[in-house]
Amino acid sequence: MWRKVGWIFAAVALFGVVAWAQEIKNPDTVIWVTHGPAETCDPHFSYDTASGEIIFNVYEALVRWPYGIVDADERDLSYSLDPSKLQPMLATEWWVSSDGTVYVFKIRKGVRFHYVGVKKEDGTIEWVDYDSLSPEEEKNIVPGYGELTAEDVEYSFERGMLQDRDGGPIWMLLEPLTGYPTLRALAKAALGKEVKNLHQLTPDEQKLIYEKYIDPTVEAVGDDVVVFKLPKAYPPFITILAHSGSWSSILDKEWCIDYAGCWDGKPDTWAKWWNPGGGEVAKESELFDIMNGTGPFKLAKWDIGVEVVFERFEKYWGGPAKIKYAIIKKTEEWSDRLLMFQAGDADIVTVPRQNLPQVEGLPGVVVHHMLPTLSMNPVAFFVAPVKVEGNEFIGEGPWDGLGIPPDFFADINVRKAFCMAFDYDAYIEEVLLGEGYKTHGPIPKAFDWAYYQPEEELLWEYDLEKATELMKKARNGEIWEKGFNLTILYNEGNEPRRIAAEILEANIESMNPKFQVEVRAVPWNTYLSLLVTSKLPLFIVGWLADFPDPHNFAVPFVASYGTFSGWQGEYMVENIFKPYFDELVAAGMATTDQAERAKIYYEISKRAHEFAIDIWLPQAYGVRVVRDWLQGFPFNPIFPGPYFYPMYKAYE
Amino acid sequence: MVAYIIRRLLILPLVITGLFILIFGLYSLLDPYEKAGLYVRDITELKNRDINELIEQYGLNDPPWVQFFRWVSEVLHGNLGWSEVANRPVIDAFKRFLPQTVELALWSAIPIVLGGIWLGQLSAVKQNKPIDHASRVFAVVGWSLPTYVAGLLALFIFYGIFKWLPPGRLSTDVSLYVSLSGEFKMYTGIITLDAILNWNWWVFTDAARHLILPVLVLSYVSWALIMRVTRSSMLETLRQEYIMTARAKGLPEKVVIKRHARRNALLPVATIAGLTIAFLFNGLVITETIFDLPGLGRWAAEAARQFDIPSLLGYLLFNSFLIVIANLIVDILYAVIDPRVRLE
Amino acid sequence: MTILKKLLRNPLGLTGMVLIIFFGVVAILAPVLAPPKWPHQPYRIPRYGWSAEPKPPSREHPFGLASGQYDIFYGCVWGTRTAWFVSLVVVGLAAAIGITLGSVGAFFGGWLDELVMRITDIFYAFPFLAAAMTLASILGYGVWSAIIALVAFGWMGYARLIRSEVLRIREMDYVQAARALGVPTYRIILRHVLPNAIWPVFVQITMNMGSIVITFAALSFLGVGIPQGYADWGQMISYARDWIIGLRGNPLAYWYTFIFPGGAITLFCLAWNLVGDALRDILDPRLRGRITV
Repeated sequence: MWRKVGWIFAAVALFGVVAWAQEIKNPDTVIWVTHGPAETCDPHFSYDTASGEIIFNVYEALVRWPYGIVDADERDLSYSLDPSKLQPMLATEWWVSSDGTVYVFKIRKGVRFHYVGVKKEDGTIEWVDYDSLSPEEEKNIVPGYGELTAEDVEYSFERGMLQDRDGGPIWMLLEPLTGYPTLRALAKAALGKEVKNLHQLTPDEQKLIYEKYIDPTVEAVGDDVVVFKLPKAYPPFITILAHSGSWSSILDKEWCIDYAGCWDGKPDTWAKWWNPGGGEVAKESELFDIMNGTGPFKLAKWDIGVEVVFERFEKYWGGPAKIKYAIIKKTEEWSDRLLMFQAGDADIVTVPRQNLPQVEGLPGVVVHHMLPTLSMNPVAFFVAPVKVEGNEFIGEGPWDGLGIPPDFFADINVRKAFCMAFDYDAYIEEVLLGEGYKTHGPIPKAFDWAYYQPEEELLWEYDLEKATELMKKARNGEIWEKGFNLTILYNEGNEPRRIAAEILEANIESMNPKFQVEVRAVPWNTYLSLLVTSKLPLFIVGWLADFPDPHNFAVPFVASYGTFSGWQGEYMVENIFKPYFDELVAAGMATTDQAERAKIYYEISKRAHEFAIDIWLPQAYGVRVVRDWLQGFPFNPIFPGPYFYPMYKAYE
Repeated sequence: MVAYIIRRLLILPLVITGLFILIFGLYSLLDPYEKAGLYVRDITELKNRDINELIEQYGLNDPPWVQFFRWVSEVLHGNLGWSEVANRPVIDAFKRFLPQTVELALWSAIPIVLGGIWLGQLSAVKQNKPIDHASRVFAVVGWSLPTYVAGLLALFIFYGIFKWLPPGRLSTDVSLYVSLSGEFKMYTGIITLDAILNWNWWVFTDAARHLILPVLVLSYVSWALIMRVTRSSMLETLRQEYIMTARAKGLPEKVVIKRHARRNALLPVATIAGLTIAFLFNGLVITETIFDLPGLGRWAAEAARQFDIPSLLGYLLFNSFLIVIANLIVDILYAVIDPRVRLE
Repeated sequence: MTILKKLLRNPLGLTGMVLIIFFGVVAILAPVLAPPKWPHQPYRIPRYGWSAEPKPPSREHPFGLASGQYDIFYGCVWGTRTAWFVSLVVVGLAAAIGITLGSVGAFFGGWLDELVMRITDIFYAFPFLAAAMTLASILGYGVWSAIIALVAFGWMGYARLIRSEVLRIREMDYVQAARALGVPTYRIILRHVLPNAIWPVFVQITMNMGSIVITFAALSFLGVGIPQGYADWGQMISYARDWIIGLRGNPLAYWYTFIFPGGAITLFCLAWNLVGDALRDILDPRLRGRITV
């Protein structure tokens, strides 16, 4: 009886495997299962990766990065992050003045947006799907309505700068173009008074700000030329304009004003559209869930947190894509994603690194290994001194061996000892499954032009004996004598951070029985609130690139005003970041000469190492898991997610 | 009777006010920085923004009652707030997630009720026989299984190995057809129902196929609840004199149970309707997460984890309404059926 | 005594009792079965590496190693203590609160009763799981925050049950007589009412012992509750969460990660439910038609 059942099982399984190997499921649709809901479709509001993934496939920018194709058997990683290798997209040619302050772009002709304005018999304008128009009907398109012009480019950047939502990405446009990080700061300088709520600006004030500071920065000249004027050189500016970040997307001015109800383009009305939803309520911006780009795909459906469906733009200027649909499916549960992928119901799957063994070697599955990444995540930061009031993590009263002294990490011996107490090789082998590299400062390896492979002695080595010696020396032996009790927190759900903390815990505790380390998880919001109030003696967070330039990493990690370095306590800021780093960071921006800049960033890394300001944890290489029938998957580490245009499904 | 119903209805706002105060009390345990942290998704957002500005912008430093009344007055103006986890207004999120939950709950209710009653009756009639023990163990094992282990195992067997019953709501091609073709009209958002209204067999079978596993899992973990009540009330009924009389008259056991015992034994089962719904909603939280169904339960789980106050309040509001009203209906029906209740 | 005898004569009740005793023995003998690596922190599960991929049973680790290389055997053995501790504390506190509120309300009646019952209604209307999650995540990680959350939303059943019992008993002749004789109210409650109302509560307690452990595990699954590496069955299963679907070539590759802790939870809960069911059958004449969940 049971044998019979066994045979039936085997037959069913075999049948399943055979059927599964031959048939390509959904041949004209590429499906990516991943997790994390997107916040918005508005390119000027979006500052999260998930929103970027959508915008990336629908909107286009002036220039784009070269990308290599990673296919089943063959990997052409001819991508580059070198700005001199940028390719034309909506601009066909461009020039930069020798002092780096003027950028001129020639705009591509004959490009149409997904939706175009057509004049109806009664004289009103109706927005219709460009694909649905016959050649005859195309003649009714109102000039400029859904047609790319230099004016559209100017409008797009101005709309972005004037919208400047709190906590959004627009600092990347405002800082190089106006010299001020936010519109508020600009208004303060322009009006000579502090205005917190720009909605209260009078029309005259708005006009002054627009005409004097915003309008001159980007100007359309004739039909097809756009000129950007910067107050001073900003070497990474061209990388900010490149297709990858959403903020440089090109919108259609007429559609934005006429259909979507965005800023009407007048100099004295813009305040109404400033900071929609207080920077938080994404729906308040007009482009929250509607899109009209020039890219290869139209947004067909956005079911927030469930799925995004793209439909091919048949009349794309570069020729239509090979696939008809692309779908981003959101599924939080890894097991579900794995099962869908195994069954062929998904072509690309986001795999937590620790679960890679479950997909490795599956029939019909290809894993792309060792892809360069543009992030420093995680890094462990030392804080000195921590805030004392209301801080439950440093113990009570004068330090007696319970808790830690507030300036625990002000002693360089302690910082160095912690760096040496981390088992880098074990982390790479067991957590990153061999796919990681050691770091020695804030600049990731993917910046090949700015990254020097350091000498061996510039990498921290795991050496408990030396660490013990250093701890004995620290604070003239007081720490070794009294011991301490340190709490390391991480935000719950973040596995690499947890394991990094646990490795530290095990090694530090093994040095001296009086050394106690506790690792604890807290929700993200609590974690954040402790970070910004400098209550954590040691925190672990990470940084992803906004635009591919080492400057984007130097500032948050080592500038005294940086996001992370600013939280590392007064001692670190005053005694380390201000005297040793601020000048270097400024110098990195003062020149456009790449060789010169490379040297500066190397010096930054070297100092970051010598002062042991952080524990530079090993960084993971990227991994991509796809079905073997998926061809033409482009690669560049700055991409927010898959770019579906070159993809198709076939066995070759 | 009418007075009774009115009295019950008057209690409703009281209960809901209590709920608000309770959940807001919980929220007040967070300090202003922790509250502000709820608005920051990504560390990059803090690059040009001071967290103190957020605290000021949302008045997070105000006394709890000020924050409470501010929220209540917003609600009274029809604004339930912004759901951070669903990334849309709470009302929209609610509308988006409700159909899935209703669909799953309705389809599950059928096997839960029928199966539970059947099992309970079976084991009562065969009291202390092997079949009684077997069916009780069967139901209690389901009750004792962690839902997510049962769910993941079921998915693994039926989808992973046999490829029959996938997670999610619809297959890709069906989903594209439903949302993009323009031929399929959405009346209710409940796919199985819409498929019937559109007279589309293809969509219906696909939707039903996706529902089988979650419904099975949800039923299996819930059967013990109804089975127990049915069993003990059935046992009690079977001991009543009129049953004895019926038996003594020589009526076949089947007839005795079907005609005489069952109807009376089912009365107490109706009283736990509220409890069943509450239990079902607990089960939905995990089932929807496991089977990747965009419903209220999954939303609530995420909201509770991230402490998204407007979403949680919206969910609680709905849930408590549902439970209170279910209990109310049951009580009224009961009062209609059983005169003794009215006299109390 | 007769109750116990009847319980042991019932095959299901007997099975339940045997299982309960088994879990009791495991809990008591935990230090012998799995000697702790850190004697002052016995609930911290020892780990043997950092890798996320589980490792199958071996001589040193009879149940294998879970994701994160936690020893599953150790976690299951000490997890038994956690299960006992959590369920006893939660049920004890919830019953104490429920009994106090319910009996006081029922005995004094009037507005006090109304108030108590309305508070009960409010708590009942809460979606239990979402509410417990919320509270636990606000209180932070730790066994106690989860316990408090479960107690806060778990006492109402006792209050309702005891109230109806008290209402029933209060009307009985001997209680009426005691009242007429001027016996103080608290003595009537303690001496006459509660002892008579206690059996249904007892049945409810046995039923709850198991479900508490399940809910506790559900909290672990949803990401709140117990700190990492703490010996707890729910925690052990949540380590298995991403590994339940094995490898394609070997679908059951990681069976040991969820079979052992999952089995422990299921059996523990099953045992209490069987005993509760059997008890209810035995006490049936007094419990007719009463609903205990």
